[in-house]
Amino acid sequence: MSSFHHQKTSLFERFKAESLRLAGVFSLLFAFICLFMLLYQVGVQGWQYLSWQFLNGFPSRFPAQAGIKSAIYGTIWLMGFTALFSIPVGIMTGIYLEEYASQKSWVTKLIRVNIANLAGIPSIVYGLLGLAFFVRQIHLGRSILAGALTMSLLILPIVILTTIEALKAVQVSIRLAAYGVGATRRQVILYHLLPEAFPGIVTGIILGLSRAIGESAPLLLIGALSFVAFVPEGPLDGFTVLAIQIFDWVMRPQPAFHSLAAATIIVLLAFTLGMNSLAIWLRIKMNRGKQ
Amino acid sequence: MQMALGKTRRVEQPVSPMEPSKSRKSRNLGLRRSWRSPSSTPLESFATFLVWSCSLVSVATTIGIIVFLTREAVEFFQQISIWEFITGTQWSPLWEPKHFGILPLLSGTLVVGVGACLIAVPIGALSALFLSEYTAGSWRVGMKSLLEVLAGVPSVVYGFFAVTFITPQLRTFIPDLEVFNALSAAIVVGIMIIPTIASVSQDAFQAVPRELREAAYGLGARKYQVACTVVFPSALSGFIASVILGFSRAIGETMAVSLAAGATPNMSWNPVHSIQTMTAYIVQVSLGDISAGTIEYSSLFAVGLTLFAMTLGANVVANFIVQKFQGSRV
Amino acid sequence: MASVKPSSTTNPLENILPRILTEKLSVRYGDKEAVSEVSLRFFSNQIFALIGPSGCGKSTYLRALNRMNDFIPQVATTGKVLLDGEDIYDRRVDPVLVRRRVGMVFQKPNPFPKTIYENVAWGPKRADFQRSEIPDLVEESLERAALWEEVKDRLHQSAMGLSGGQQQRLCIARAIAMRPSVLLMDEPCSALDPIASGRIEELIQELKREYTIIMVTHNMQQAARTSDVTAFFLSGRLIETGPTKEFFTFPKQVETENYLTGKFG
Repeated sequence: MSSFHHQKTSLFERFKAESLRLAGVFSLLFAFICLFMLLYQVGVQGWQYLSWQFLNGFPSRFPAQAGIKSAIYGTIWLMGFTALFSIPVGIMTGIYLEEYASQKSWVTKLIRVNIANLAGIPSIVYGLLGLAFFVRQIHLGRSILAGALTMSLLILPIVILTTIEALKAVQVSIRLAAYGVGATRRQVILYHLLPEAFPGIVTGIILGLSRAIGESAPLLLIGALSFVAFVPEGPLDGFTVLAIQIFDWVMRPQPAFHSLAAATIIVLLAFTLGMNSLAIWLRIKMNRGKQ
Repeated sequence: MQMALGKTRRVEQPVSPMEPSKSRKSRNLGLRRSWRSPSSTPLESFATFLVWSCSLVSVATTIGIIVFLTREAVEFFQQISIWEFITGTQWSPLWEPKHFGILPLLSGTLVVGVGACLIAVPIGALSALFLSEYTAGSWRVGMKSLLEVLAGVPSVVYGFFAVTFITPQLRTFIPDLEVFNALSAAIVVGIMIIPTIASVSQDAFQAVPRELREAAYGLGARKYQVACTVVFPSALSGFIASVILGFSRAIGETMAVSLAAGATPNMSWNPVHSIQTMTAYIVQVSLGDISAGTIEYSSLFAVGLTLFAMTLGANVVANFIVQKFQGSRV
Repeated sequence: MASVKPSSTTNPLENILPRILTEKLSVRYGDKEAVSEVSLRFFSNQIFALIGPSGCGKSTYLRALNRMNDFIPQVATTGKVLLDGEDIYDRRVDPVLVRRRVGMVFQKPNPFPKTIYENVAWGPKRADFQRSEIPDLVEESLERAALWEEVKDRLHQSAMGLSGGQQQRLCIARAIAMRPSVLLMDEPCSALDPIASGRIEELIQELKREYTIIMVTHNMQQAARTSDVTAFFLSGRLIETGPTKEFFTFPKQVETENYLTGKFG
């Protein structure tokens, strides 16, 4: 028998080799099975309650009549204002840090470190800030505006960091060409860099907003209400969102409300997973394009 | 002289060739930044100012968090001694007799945090190692993206999952399990942070240079040996950072924990019991009527400040480890 | 084909059969053929230099000898590579076992971020050598790699603190700790300064007493100085091979002469 043949390797060796691969596969499988079971549980429990009446009705003490109209409207209002605040500020901060600021100055480094830290702060701390400042200090009350401003702060780091990444990824040659014809910084950014970096920035916005849709902790502190039987009409109105409605219903002991929560989750997940998948797909497409 | 030089530059405003040169300052070569040069138009200055001021928002946020949390917390500490807060083993600020020791909340938070890590670290690390060493190309990218989907599921949904599936299932073979318990919370938070640990670890593993792997395989080692004794140790700092980040996320987790673990602050580390974490307490208070100026209101901020300090500390340590050790490992 | 009369060694009988040989070896990636039907024989205790312009396939050929090309996706290797008479590309062969017999030293020194001792001991440990023999094995390997004196007092310090030349000698020690029959060297000096280079060349001369050394180099002078047999590659084909002295003074092929006189490459 040749001295290199596979049989020369002891069974124990081969067992050890396969173990690591199997352990890796099972770990991945575990994560995916959890995801699957979660979606299955949501689907099975919530499917029966999905109906037009459900989407178009208000919450009620009676599960059979409850709906999430107020939550949907509230979510849309909140997301609209959040986008309004966070997109411009986030993109411009990213532009400043990547294009204008001196990379060596300690101030710039401090700002960058600060943003990285802000990204890791629990959302409920943002809620506390929102409560103390937006709700109380400047008297916005338990309004959509207060909520939107708080959520904007929460997702700002995401938008900033992805904008920076997108700008970094723009090829040097484009910058050289643009500056080379004597364009000013503003012109280079506005007419050359931003269009190139646009897909990346959009990915960041989508990821940020999809995170905002799912976050409920800060809004609880702001005072998003649970039993809202009206549709908001202005930014200073009270409101509720899908995530809070889910929370409220899961908290109740009756299984019927759990099923209502499941139905709401289906709606929420449709939003979140849809947005996340779009962002991931966009990012893969961009990376492939760059190669 | 002005005319000749005027041909070599492009300006947004025409420069009068008849302008006499007076002082040394105005006898510029036409290139220096002046109120006429393209980079100093009002529009440019405004653009610069605009982006600069936006960046201040992020700074203001951190300052705001620190200022407002501290301000309210100070109100709290004017009534409750720091000693009692740090060492008290009872927490009942909402009903008589009032106690303000944070240790039960801290204990609850740590039970969930450590428990979540016990689940997420092995699963996350093995997944990351597998993806890094045993997969490539579109499979690898696809699996990583799928894991990120797990991260995109909102916290309340995990809370729902814990209440409607995990707890009932666990109760079938752990009869002692309470309706609200630390175990379900730890499991569900663990699932939530798997993507965090896996993603950061995978990046660390993949960053190990190809030459090291080549050397290892060239010596006649098997893949599992290379993975465990070359790749993993070389990326150790990145892995540790991922664990710290995962832990930090776990202790900041709010909604899922509130729904699953309950609202009974105690010092028990037995996972079948109901507990209360710092985050769950904050939720509990906000569900009621919080009027400003009360001790309940300021207790929110005392707890919030503690939580902020812990997560900030953990994140700073994680970033420091990555900065400090990434270079020397290559 | 090189059927060279080997220089005198301790065991003349051993040298009649080549240690390792290739028969019409071809390697392609996708649709590009990097190595075309190369047949060469390598005998014990000699240094073989493979020279040629960049991209001529010499490194790919070298890597085929210890199945390192297996890691490249879409690679197809045809032809035979016989190590002591056994085809290492046989279906039943475990490439890991092949690599333990055919060692490799790379262009850029790549020590593990571990201690000096651990670097040398790592391979033997993974291959289940006798644990008790490993410390002696480490010392012996470091001595043979002309590094022992310099590191014997800091075996447990990180290998990353060594200079470039020292690191490369450590990589050589690491490779010979596996007690290979053949040592493959892929441009071992190209990342080093001339002094360190020179020391490695001396070392390689010493090493040929124990091993069969096959060295890829882009430095013609190095090949002329160091090797016993030289082979010239061009566009994946073997153009000419022969004893070094003859090869450099009286090349037989036009292409070889052009390369040697610097007309290209």
